[in-house]
Amino acid sequence: MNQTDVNEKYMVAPFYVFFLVHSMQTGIGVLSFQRILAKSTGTDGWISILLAGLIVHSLIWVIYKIFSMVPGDILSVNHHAFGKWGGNLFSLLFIAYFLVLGSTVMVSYIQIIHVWMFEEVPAWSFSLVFLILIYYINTGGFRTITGIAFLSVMMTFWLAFVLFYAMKYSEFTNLLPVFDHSLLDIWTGTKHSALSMIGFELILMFYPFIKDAKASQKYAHGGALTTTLITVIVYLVSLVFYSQNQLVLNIWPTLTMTSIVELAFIQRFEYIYVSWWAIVIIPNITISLWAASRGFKRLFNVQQKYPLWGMSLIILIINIFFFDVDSLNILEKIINPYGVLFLVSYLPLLLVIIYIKKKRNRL
Amino acid sequence: MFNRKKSKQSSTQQTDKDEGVHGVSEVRDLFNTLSSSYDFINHQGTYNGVGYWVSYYRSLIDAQELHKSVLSVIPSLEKINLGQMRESIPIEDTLITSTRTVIEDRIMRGHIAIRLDANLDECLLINVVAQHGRQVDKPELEFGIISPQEAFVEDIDINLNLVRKRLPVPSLQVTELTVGTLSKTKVAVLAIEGIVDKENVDTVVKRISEIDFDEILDGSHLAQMLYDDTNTLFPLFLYTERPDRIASALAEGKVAMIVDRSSSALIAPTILLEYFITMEDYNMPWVPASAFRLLRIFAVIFSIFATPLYVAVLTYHYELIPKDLLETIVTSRNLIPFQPLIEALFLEISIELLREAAARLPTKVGQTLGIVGGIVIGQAAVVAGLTSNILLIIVALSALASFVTPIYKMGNAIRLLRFPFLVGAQIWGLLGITISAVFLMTHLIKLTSMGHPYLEPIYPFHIKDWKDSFVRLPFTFFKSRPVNLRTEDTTRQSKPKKSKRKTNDFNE
Repeated sequence: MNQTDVNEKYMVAPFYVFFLVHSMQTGIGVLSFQRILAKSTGTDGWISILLAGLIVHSLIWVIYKIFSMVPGDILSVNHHAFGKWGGNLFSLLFIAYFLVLGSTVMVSYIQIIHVWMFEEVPAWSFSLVFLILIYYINTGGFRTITGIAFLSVMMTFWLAFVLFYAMKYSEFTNLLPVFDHSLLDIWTGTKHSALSMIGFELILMFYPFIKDAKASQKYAHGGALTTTLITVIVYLVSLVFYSQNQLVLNIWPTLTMTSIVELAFIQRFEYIYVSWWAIVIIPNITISLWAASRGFKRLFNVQQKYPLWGMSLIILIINIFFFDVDSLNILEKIINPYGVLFLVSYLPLLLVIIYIKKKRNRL
Repeated sequence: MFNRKKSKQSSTQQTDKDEGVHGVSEVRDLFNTLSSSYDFINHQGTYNGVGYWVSYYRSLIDAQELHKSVLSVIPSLEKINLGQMRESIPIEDTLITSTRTVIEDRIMRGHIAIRLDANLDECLLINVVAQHGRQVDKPELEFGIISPQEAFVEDIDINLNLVRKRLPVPSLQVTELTVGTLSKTKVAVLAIEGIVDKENVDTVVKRISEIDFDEILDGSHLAQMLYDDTNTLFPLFLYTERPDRIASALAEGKVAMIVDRSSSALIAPTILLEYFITMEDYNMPWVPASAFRLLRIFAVIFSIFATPLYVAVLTYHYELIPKDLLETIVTSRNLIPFQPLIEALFLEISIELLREAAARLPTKVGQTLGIVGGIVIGQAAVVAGLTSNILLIIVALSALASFVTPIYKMGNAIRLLRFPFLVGAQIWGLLGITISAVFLMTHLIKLTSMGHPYLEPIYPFHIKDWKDSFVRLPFTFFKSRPVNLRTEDTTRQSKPKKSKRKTNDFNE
């Protein structure tokens, strides 16, 4: 565990945490979260999103609290809290989680490409190109990854404004009634909107790469806040654009909304939207795979390229043998209940354990 | 080894003490070797009964100077010895030595060697090098309408003079190095001490001295050996023929390199956006300057993406085009038997051919090329039904747009960049273009020039450096030097603005 220290040359300024968190949170979720949310919470879905945002903020606070006591990354914290074997076990779980996260994002995006643009192109060819690109980005080290995340946020921010075009056809009474759902419904909605919120937990891996890391907490909160607000806006726009019954039938409401944009020289905007979304997706997968391979590197003391190769190969094989896995299903069935539950329960637990250990050491 | 630079400085007082016993036959041996070349002259003369030899390459020296300042002086001497001669000859760059390497080096640089019969191993070396070369001329590659009309020439001293005249401060330091085992090219590294980050100068000097190559022909030849990453289309060192650009770069805290026999100088470290800056931008009010800069950057983006977008949209996403516009495009394309990529490649390659041919042809013949290329081939291709009118317009515009880059080498990079994007567009349409763009973005993020990020101030994001990037803000904003250069002295203007220029009743 002696590689926790990161050379200052490889570190990034604290404000990039905003972009890292925000770009990692924005991904597949924001294109498709409306349907399930509308099913459970309907017009009150925005409350669920705000609640989810609140939980994200408190988890970010927990993460920074943990690191203020045990500096390093999640691997060293696990080691500190559970000793060698227990710590490594949890670290392996995290590595697996990051890998699954990265690969599901890629599979979902490829599925979107299949549905919206190219039906017949085999998934493995897309994933091969993405993996080469991701490997290329990874060879530039964490600074390059941050750069890609930063530029990705900068270059894709305007996509949010495209949705305002849909306001032309909006029916504001769709927003009503407010506070129509029980607390239980809202809680279910919160669970359902979790998919568009996860991604902040990557701080657990890249924390040691932040210069003056403690100062970066406000940027992390800022990134999460931006995501929450964008998600709320997207949900509200979808609510006023679609009727409830339409919304629960639409798998990708955000994309469908963009297809009505019509300018003098361009129409069917969703082609541009889907292609441009690659810029959002690539940092997403890159950071996940980087985190997974870096965890592997730290755990087993190997060069990072070997686990990265291995993981790329696994993802490629998944894409070769399973044409169009129902990835949304995977997301909902695996990542959402178990992954999110793991995060939400494990992080506070970790904080408590570390806190107790510290207290005991002092006494 | 004898340090050349030092020997030059101390040559007037000191005769060389390095002569060893073994050096004796070496000097004679050297002259025997040199004499085997036909343009090496050994002139024998006698005066007052003392025989002397004057040896030189007639192709390297100025014969008039030799007659006027050396040969005509010898008969006026009372006693013939080297020391006496040296004092009477009205040339200051002289040296008495018997070290073989020094003699060889100096003779090869246009010195003459005078030896007396009494001691054929000791030489008086006198610099009478011929100064051929062209006069300072107008810049050809980086012509500017409202900027000085001086450009570098091939002579290192004239070039240094052009820079020094613009920066008459003692802190402008020049370090001279020699590279190339055969070409022995002189390279001067310039930097303003007190402003420049010393590390940059050290890196440049270190990298230059690490070069082990036989022949360095030109500045850009040298630059490629100094690059951080050689596998890139982009120029990492700015290659300019404008002395004012060098002066302004030095004032900002960059390092400049002037290479002998090269009519251009190099600037390092550079950033991507610097290649879209002309010196005119500083001579115009900031509004037009910024507008034209933005125009140039737009042109570059257009030039890279226009044809690939055409290929992508017409191959895969014709739904993107509204009905009315689609009609126009369909009418223009309905007789064309090829898919858009072939059509685009056909035109792009013919434009590239024209461009390459225009660069190789003599000027007079070149004029006809524009007519042949522009009118005959383009129009004929459309009439023959090989390409559509619309694509012709797009390709012509993007070719035009790629000419706006002030630095020629960046123009070249942009010229080539279009082709990977074309391939991407053909394979996966818009998605292919996006993926290629992310590849390009990654490449640019990874690039460094002398260890400084190339994409600055975009990433790493430095808001302070945006004043002179996409736009050029008024000079009141130019309070500090670029952050990424980490200069020792960061202030450019110390005092705040003096008096208000304009007052009227409103401001009272």
